[in-house]
Amino acid sequence: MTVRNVGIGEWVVSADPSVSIKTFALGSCVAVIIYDTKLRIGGLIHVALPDSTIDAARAASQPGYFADRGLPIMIEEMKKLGAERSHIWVKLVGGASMLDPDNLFDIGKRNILAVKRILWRSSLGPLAEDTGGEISRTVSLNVGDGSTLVSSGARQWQI
Amino acid sequence: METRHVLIVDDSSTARMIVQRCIQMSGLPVETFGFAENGLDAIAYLRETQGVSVVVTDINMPKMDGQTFLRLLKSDPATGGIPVVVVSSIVEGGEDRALLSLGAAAVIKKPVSPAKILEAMGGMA
Amino acid sequence: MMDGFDPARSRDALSDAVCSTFADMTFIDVAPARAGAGPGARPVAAPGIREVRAAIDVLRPVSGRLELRMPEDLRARILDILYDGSEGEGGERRDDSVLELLNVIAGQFLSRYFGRNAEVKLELPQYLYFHEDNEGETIVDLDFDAEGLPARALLSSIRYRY
Repeated sequence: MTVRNVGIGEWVVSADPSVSIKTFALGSCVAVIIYDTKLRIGGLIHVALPDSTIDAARAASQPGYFADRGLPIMIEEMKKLGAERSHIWVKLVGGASMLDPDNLFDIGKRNILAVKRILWRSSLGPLAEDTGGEISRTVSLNVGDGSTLVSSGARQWQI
Repeated sequence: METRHVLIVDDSSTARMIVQRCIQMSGLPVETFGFAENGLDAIAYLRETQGVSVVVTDINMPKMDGQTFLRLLKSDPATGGIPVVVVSSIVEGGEDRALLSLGAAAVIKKPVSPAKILEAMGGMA
Repeated sequence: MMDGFDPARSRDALSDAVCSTFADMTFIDVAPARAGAGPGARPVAAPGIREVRAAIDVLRPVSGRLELRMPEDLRARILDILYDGSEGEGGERRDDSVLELLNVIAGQFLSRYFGRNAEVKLELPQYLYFHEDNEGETIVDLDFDAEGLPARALLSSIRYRY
């Protein structure tokens, strides 16, 4: 099994059944995993902030950093590979509770809601989510069978 | 049982839209959606339309509430076999014994979501 | 008939119901408004913006009125998110989104307040116009911050005349 790592603000889409797509240390960041069960195509994006209007330069150079830029792009890439809504599922991981630097709002919660808004716009909705709380999560998607493994510290579990 | 033709009954157009979207997002195979604003209109729809597979209904509606509608549906041999899923703000999801004893196949507490739809209707597809 | 709503329990139940329902239905982060001034302080509506008021009456096991108030621009935001440019089934974007939001908030509030097995009865939600004020006593009055826009939820007793 080849592991393709996804860093913060990045995404990977793969149709290779020997690949596992993995991302680490999701604190308040959210990983969106989209999987087409018929064609066995999987995508995983590691989003850090909800709204790209706060940093146009970064939005242009690293769209995956922002939910509102990167997620629609990844969804389009999967559609171009033939992924269809009728056999897709979506899972969300991360969004742990963390206040922004000015102590005004919970970034984790904002990320989760921004992701859900964008999914709603594409008529997609999460089938499962492992979000919130105060733990940092790591998640991997097995493109061959869609199995999704979440871990935090020594614990691991499937969602 | 299948989900090809779904009738959505709710007096709120926003609720009807949300239920439709969540059913579409759940991946269940639906070809046709019908809509009614209350139990009375729903009965008229069922009398005029062949092939409805599932009815998804609210309870709190004007003209004819969901419980009365459910009783009428289940007591008519022409419609008694159609599964009914209740989606409402004032039920307790999954275990509303009163509705289940009236013949509801499943009960969902609002807010509805694709995951709740799949759990309630997944076995029907 | 039970006594009226207890203010302290109502406050917690209503606050949770409002925040969770806004998140689940509209994907808007709503939190209790902060007191005081400065960044993050309780938002106020822009001048000249109309206020939307929706109410739903609880009939059983205890009678009361739940009200949701928000500026028109928050309602417009909700509509934009839910419908996202599409027109709905009849080609017409009917404006009962705040009514349905309040309907779901009410159900969530009653579950939290009375527990899972209580038999509850609700009227249908309605918009209030021309500042129709009910004659009951305010039990809970909560301010919220909906990502920079204000929202308010009230629970009051209500006197029925038959």
